[in-house]
Amino acid sequence: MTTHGEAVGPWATPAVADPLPPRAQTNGAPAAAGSPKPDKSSGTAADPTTAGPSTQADGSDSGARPEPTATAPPKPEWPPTTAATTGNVVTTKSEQPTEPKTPDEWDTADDPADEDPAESAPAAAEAAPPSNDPATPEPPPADEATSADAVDADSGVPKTSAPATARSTAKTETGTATPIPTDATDVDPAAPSRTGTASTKAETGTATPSPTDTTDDDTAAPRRSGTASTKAESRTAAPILADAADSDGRTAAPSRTGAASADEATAATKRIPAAKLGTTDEATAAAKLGTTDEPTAPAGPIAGKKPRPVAKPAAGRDQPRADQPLRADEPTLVDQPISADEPTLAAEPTRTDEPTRADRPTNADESPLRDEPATRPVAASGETATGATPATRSRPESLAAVLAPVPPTEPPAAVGELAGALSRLRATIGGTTYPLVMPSAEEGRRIGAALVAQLDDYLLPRLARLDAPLLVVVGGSTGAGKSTLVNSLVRAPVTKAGVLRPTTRSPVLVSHPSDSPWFRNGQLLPGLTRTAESSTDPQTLQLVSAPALGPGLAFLDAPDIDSVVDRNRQLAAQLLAAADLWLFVTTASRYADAVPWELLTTARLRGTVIALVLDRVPPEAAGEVSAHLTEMLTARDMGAAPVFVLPESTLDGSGLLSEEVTRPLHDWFAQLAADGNARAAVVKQTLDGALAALGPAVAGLAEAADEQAAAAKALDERITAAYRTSRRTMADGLQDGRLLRGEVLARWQEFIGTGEFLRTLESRVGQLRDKIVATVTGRPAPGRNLQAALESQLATLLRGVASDAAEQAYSAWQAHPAGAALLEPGLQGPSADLPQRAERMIRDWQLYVLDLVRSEAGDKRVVARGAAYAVNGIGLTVMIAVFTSTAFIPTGAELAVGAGTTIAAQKVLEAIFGDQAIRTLATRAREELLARVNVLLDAEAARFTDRTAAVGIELKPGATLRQAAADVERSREEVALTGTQS
Amino acid sequence: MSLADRVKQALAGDDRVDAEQLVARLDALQRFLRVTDPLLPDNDLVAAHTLVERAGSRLALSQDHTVVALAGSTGSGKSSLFNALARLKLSPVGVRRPTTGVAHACVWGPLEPATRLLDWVGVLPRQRFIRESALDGDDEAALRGLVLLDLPDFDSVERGHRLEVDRLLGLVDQVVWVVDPQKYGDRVLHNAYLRQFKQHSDITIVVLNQADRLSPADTDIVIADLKRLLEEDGLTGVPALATSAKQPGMLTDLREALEKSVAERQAALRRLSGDLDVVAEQLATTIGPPAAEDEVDRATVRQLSDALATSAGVPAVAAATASAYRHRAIASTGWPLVRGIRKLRPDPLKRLHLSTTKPDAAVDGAGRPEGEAPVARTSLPEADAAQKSAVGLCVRAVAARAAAPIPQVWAPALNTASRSRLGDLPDALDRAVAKTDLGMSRKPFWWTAVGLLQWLFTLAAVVGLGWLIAGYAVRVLGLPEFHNPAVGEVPLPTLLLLGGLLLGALLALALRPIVNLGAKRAGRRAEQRLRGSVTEVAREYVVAPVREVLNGYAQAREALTVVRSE
Repeated sequence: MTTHGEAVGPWATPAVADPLPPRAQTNGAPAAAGSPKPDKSSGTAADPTTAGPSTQADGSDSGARPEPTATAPPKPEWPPTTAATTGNVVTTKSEQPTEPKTPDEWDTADDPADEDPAESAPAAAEAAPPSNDPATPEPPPADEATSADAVDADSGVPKTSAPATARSTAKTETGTATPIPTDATDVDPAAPSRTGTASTKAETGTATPSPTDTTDDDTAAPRRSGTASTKAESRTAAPILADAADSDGRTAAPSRTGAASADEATAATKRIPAAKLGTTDEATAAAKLGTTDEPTAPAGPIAGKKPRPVAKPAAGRDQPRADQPLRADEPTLVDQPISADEPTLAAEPTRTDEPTRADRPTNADESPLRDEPATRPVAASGETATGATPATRSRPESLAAVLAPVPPTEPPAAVGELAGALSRLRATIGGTTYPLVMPSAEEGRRIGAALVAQLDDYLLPRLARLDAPLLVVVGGSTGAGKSTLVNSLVRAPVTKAGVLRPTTRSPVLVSHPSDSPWFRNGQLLPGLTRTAESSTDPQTLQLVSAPALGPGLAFLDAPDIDSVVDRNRQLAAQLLAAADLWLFVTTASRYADAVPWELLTTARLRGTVIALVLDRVPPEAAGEVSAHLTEMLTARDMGAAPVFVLPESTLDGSGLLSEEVTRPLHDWFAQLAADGNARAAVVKQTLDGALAALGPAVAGLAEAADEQAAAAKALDERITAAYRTSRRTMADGLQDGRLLRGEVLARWQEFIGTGEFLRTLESRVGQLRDKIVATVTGRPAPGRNLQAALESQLATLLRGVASDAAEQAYSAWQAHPAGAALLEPGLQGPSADLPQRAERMIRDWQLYVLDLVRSEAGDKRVVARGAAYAVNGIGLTVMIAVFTSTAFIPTGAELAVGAGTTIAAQKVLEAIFGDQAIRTLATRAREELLARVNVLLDAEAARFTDRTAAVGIELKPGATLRQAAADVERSREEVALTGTQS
Repeated sequence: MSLADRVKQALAGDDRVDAEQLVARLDALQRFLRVTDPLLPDNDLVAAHTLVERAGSRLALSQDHTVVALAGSTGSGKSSLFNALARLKLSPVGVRRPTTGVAHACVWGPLEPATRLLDWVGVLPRQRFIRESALDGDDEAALRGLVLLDLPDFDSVERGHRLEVDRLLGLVDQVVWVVDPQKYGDRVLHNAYLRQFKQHSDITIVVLNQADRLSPADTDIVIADLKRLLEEDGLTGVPALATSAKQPGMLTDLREALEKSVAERQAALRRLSGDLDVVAEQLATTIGPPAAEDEVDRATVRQLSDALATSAGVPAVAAATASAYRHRAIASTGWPLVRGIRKLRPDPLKRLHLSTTKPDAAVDGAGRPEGEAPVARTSLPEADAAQKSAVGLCVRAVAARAAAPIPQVWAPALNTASRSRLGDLPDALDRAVAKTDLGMSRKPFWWTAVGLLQWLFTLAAVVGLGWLIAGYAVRVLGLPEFHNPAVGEVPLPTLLLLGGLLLGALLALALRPIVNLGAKRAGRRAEQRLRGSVTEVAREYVVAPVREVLNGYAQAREALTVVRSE
């Protein structure tokens, strides 16, 4: 809803605003408060417009850095905004006197910017409810509650609601994380005091905007509970939503919970479960609420049931609105954070800090409060709450029904498209292999795996839930003090620190109890098994709840990036890719190490928001070292990242750094946690950066894939060339009739000379011709012994050319880096069964020739018989013809034997088939033999080419990758996570 | 037992390196390289070449100095340690990383003798310092001869530093690895460096610097963990000392270790010896079981010579020899009346342009004292594709046979060797065939005898014929008739004529089987001799180069055995 609310500013505003304006005014005080806010916000908005929170942060950072001691400056940067907001919030809540201010501030801080319109909108919303009221008695109170004004009306109920709202608002502002401290504690005390007071109203007012903005909110309110408390929740939800764009629903849940009780807020991590829970959930939620806020409790159940009917009408209206919010959500979100931040910063820098610090103590107080709700129940309630959130969205369908099917509108189409494009990209990257060993392949494989891991671990889950808690991954060198830092930040020994390197082997995730369900459900980093106990298995993720940590922010203590344990390094890289914010921890003696800088560069290219902690700095070195570090950062285009310098100090009894030391960092995170907008901005910047970085990364992959394809092609060409030579040799060998002549002649005579007489006659004639030709040509006839069996001759020739080709192919590949890796000793020669296959091939060919002759000869067979030619004989005759007829051409020696045999053979055959027939048969037989030889050689060549087949050249992997990346980029631009202003 | 004691123990006693043996091993390595250089891939030998060169240089330089390098990650306190050991502020120390960009050297004792050594190591003159013990009395005397180097880091963003470290680490005699509690488990330290030094555990010392930052208990734990890591790196038994540049007391162990190694003057030799071990280990993969020079067995050679014989036309020549025998036998022993016709036909051997005279006959000219007359090319037909294929297959088989028992790296060398003279083979074969004495140069004695007999019969026939003609002429001319003597009923001239003719024909006929038999024998003999010649060619042109490689292998093997002897 919040999202919507914010979004409303842009889109919803027009629609809702127009009709409502009057009512908004009616609201009066709040409205007034709102009006001033808008101004601020608008002013601020302009500034922020320039860039998301990140930009601001950068600006501040740069400003801050120059100062030797980074500590002070850094705070202002990012957090500053957050801090401001939080500060305001805090003040409001905790200090009643401040209330007047607070409301204003609040408004400003909150969605206020949008609120102008929003407020009007809320007014409208309120108005609507009233109308409903008549119909259902219950609804009216709820509506009233929802609207700040309403609070006044229903004094009794409203009170509770009022506090609730206050809390909720606070939470909303703070975002999920920070709120914890202020919210919980503040709320309870504040609630009573505030109720009835103007301050309360003011708060409610703030809250109201959100409902108005998001049509959903209105609906939600009714659904949840007729009571004011419920409304409050819904409102709260609205602001929250505003913070987190699409995921608003989820965020909203937490915020509500906050309102109701800190526990609820925490619980509301998962929408889906909530949805399932449906009505029941609501009821439960209500029940929980009840526990927290006793007064509210009774109302809860009732609300759950009754509200629904009431809500329905409201839903009807809402629906159209809801659509609008969806569209506008993203832009709005961005704007708000910025606007809120700037004003606050500019206005009360000092104040911000102070309040925040003040908050800390409050936080401490809060924690007890939270505890009260009891973590377990919280979780359950959280679900319920979440359920509610979705409900908000789904209002149209059923007001009361929290479970209402997830609103189709919720995830803007563009986001869905982006997710789809990402999934496709993931599949494409996952499907691209780099089987060839190339300089680029190893990197391609690594980057590809990293991208897939990042998509699975982070991008897809994060895109699906933009409102999920902000994950701060604490990474850095071994021995830099990551674990100690995490422990100190959450003020509890949640992860083990030690002197042995590396200390941390499996990651530890510390979150507020209310956020743990989200981390436990395994959407993020799905590859890691969740455990509750500490483990040394790097494949596990230990989840620890730390109440001292605000909701909305989680720390992940990652293993080191540079110790001897390789697995740590991989895991750290994987975790860093899943970070919304990377808190890079280094030390005075380490900050110039090469390995971390490589990762930092990667992170920068990926657009991850980075903050640095320079730990263990000897006091005297702080100035020089931090200056140098800043210099290095600037040189590497990371000048915008805040740097926190922690002096070397001794640990306290429980192994924690003293609060004094970690204060700057603590405050910074507190501010970040408190400011939902800033958090959302961080998430979006990192997400957007990561998405934007996909393009170049995938382009690199595509290049590697292209190189693979090119290399595979080159390798294949080498093979083709090698085997082309062997084919030519084979063809030449067959052209040279001598090869096959000898044996064929002998057998020809055996077959033809059915009578011994004819045979001797033939051979005599042959010999005579030999001699005559030899005498005439002056060249001796080759001896008979030269002629071995046709089969073995052919087989030898085949084996020879296959060996040559294999060797040539082998050495050709060996000269190629990718080829060399594919080779194995067996490829140096022909395949082991080549002789057998060659013989088989030759026999098959002989059979073919016989068949050929048989079919061609047909009825002439009788004549052939008559001429004492068996079919075999004829076959052989053809074979002879093949070789002898061709044999005439190349060498004179052919004439020697050729003359006699050929002429004799042809004479006979001519009688039977005629000259033309013989030639045809001869040609066909030879062609057939060559074709069969080629098949055999192809099989030989395939031993090589099969190895490059894995590349899939024809699939054009590079082009596919580029296409997928381009799709993602287009979707990203459409979604414009950070490009808000427009 | 204190650490110092253990260090002493590790460095003490019988693990001294014998310089002479080291030189012998280096010589053997050089021998190995000489043999294998043309035979093995360069990549396998680079390290050995580098070592031979480096060892030569180092041994030629001062043996009285021990070059010890302080190496470590950036920020580990190398420079601080360097300064603390020198007790002077020589190398700049800073918090800015990386601090040291070039190596600094400090020489204990006079600089002059170490100048060339430092030149070789490559320390710039302005980074050289002297620690003359005169200033401190005898405090520093124990370190006289120590050349301490402060290296740049190897893990910072400055890539140049790493290159410099890599270069220097190859040259120094001893390395003190400086690690600190933060970085002792770094990947780059262990994987890229310490593991490369696992053969040099006798010249390696690891110090955990900045130990003052840990509690004593933690220090022990860390030292134990460091030792575990070192063991994983293969550096078992390497001293791991806790040091601190800030607390002079914690330097004692390191100082003692350095003093010990300076006093022994052994580090340089140990270093080279360790390098030799590394190289020898690398090279060990190129050497396997012994391979006899005649690794190529008879069967393989026979197959080869069969293939060569076929491609050289040996069967054809043998057949031609047989028919030439027949031809000549008939020409010599045939019926003289038809011999002439036989002579019209060409001699089969001559038709192949094969010499029919004794090869010895060629040695007539005194102008060719050293050998034989040039041999003419025969007219044998060229080998066909199948025959060439068969030869190729057999040559391959020879190389494969030779390569079978020895490591794979030698296979290409053997393959190349087996084919090194393949281009000359056709000519060599032809020459061998042409040169071979086919055993046809001398006429068998019985040919002459039978020839004479044939002539005798012919003469008888001629005499008889003449006689008859004379008788006829006398009768025609009316002169008184001869009274021809008669043998039995038949007059002598008639008997002479008919008998001569008949006996001649019968003799020729009767000798046919004998001639055929002789022809077969001649053919077989010719084939045998030809095969002998061809086998010779096969040995010379195919097997000999292969054996040469095998011989090289044996030599390399022998040399490596020496290199590996410790």
